[in-house]
Amino acid sequence: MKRPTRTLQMALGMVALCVAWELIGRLQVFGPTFPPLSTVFGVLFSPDRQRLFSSAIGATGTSAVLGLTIGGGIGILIAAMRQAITATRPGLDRFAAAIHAIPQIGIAPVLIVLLGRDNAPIAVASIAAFFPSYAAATRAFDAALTAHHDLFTVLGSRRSNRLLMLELPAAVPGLADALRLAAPGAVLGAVLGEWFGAPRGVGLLILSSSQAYDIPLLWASALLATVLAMVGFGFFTILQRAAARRFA
Amino acid sequence: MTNSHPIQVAATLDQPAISLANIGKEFNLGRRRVVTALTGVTATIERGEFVALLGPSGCGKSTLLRIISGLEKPTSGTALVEGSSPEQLISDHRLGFAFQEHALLPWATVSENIAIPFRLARRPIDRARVSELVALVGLAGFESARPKQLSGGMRQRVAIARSLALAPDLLLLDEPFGALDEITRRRLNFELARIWAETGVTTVMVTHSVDEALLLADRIIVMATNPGRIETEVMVDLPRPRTAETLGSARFGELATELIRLLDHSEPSDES
Amino acid sequence: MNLARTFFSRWWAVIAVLVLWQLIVTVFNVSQFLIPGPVVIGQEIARDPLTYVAPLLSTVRTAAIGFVLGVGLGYVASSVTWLLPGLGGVVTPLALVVRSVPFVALVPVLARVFGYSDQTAWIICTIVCFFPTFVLVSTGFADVPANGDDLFSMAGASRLDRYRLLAVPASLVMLATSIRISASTSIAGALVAEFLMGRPGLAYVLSVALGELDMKTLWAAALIAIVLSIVAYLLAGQFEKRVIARWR
Ligand SMILES: Nc1ncnc2c1ncn2[C@@H]1O[C@H](COP(=O)(O)OP(=O)(O)O)[C@@H](O)[C@H]1O
Ligand SMILES: [Mg+2]
Repeated sequence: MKRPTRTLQMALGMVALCVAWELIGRLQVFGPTFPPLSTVFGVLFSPDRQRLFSSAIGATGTSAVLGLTIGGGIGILIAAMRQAITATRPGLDRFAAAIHAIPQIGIAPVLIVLLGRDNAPIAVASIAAFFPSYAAATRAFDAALTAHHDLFTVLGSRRSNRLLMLELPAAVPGLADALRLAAPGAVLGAVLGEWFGAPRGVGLLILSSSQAYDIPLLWASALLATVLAMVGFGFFTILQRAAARRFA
Repeated sequence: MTNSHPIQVAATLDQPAISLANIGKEFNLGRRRVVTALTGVTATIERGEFVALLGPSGCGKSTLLRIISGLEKPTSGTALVEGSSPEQLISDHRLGFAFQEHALLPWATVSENIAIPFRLARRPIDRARVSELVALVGLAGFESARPKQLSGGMRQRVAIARSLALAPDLLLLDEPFGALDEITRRRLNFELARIWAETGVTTVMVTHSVDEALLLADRIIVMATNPGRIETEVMVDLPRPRTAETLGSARFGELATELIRLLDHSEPSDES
Repeated sequence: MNLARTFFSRWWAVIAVLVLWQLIVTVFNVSQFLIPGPVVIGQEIARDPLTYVAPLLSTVRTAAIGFVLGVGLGYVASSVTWLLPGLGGVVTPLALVVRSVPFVALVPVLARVFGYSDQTAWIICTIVCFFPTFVLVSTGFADVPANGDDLFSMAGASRLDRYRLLAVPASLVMLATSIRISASTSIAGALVAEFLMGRPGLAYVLSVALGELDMKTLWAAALIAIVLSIVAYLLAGQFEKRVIARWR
């Protein structure tokens, strides 16, 4: 009942936003720094920029995928450890919250020094992906029903069997959900990581066009970052649906 | 407990399958509120017996079954199964349990679900035994179906087959057909009677259906509520095998009337 | 004793990371120049606190201004859209879309649109707090229909009475959640704005230290920014818990 209205509202909002954007740009309400949507699209789809954009998307996408794998993977692993050893739970929750609270812009310069400018976007993306993945995985490992737990108890299951045969399979849809929630963060973490002197990427485009006062390119690359994050979310949403069909 | 092993074995030979001594169970609801689910429950169940726990909902039937299975600990009194604690039975993998909600794993096939007890007992899966069970509950041909492709009745059959997989010494059934329609339920009652006759396993079944209890049980323990307790016991002297005709027999009618009267009586009176 | 145990059970993982870090730096004799241990960083901060106090205060000020304005305006705006439902139909979809535009795309664009200045940093922080607050509080208000046929309206209560007596209490939990979220996003927003526009603050210290390869300052400023965010996050989380316990 509530979901379709949300989706509808989002669609409506999208249309309204595009119209408002075009109008504000055309009427120069905010001056030349606020170009109309059509101008931004013109830049985004101009043939002589395609090489630039595709190389940027390639770099940012690669960093995001690696970051999602590393950060999301570690999030799931630590959540699995939390599930296996009850006593670790409060400490790991606090640890994850601390990681979550780390401002990416605060840690990125340090990561540049530690890992170099090529790897920093991956590292920031990993940190960004960690918490959503941990939080969703924690929920996922609790997804098994009480009746299933009772069944495993009366059948004399060992802890390891309970984890492998019950808690893990029951967690699969939730784990796909974890990746889904972590994906946009990974993209945006990668973009932010690229601000600190990465050789390529959407983040570099944003920063350099901003510094060069190339306003249409700035808007175009900001739009690109947003769309990339949404694409990541959409891809894992499809995956999550499939996992839910198979395991629930 | 285990230091005199030979004597223990000798003792278990003439032990009843289950002996419950003065069992009480209270649940802490927090904020110092407590419900008394069971009080003063004493009963003995012999080997090979089929006993039904009959009573209105909330009288502690499930709680009693869970105490027998070791899922729940009594607040007072002792429950002995085969002369030792329920946990012993669990760790020996000699307990079968079917829940009201089938509790099948949704990602596993019929065969895989039935084979789970083998895997949890860390025994090699006996394929022949699994097919035999599939046939026993009438699901031949559905071996690789998943639970959500099955009807409610078929899922319960799988659950029963699973509970029998390791040929348990004790079978506990908590309203296994409670969620089914009347027709399916009746059919599964007859099937369960047949399966029980073939295996002869000691069985305790929770039900709130008088007909179901009479079709299946040797003895019915009638429970009452507020607080949950045993009201009385009724021996079911209907001949076996019980069939559709049994339902129409005069003795069935008498016993049913008697049970309905007892259940009515066990309802809390208005002024309490 | 019991307090110590609770503290340790919650913080063991964070403490372990710090101890491990110090141990690795000491045992492997890592260059103090490149990667100082927590102890050295602490000493550095203690040696020259004034280097960090002014930027810290400046960041906190920007974040606080944006936080108060963003949450406040967000609450006011969702109140208005509740009182005038026709308006909500237009504004809510827009807010939903803008809310999902990520930081790294929004901030550089806003910085160019409004020009590089302290006021722009405030505007940015305000905006990043405004939209989540608006969307969340609106869902809280939505539990109370604006035109109900309940006891209140039958007793002749005006819409303002209904707002005061029904809608406001119903929105408080969501307001607390917005406050928790905005506490971290305002700080992150302030840092990103400072970094991009070169305004005084912790992020500026970071970017200068990175440029000069002044590692001690870099690590110290990063650690302060991280601790600041974590403290804000935890305090706001506690606050939210209290409010939920009281109002739900
Ligand atoms: N885990 C539990 N926590 C609190 N109360 C419980 C719990 N399990 C059962 N009870 C209470 O104990 C009483 C008996 O419940 P139950 O054994 O499920 O009854 P029945 O199976 O006969 O319907 C009920 O009042 C129920 O609310
Ligand atoms: Mg029950």
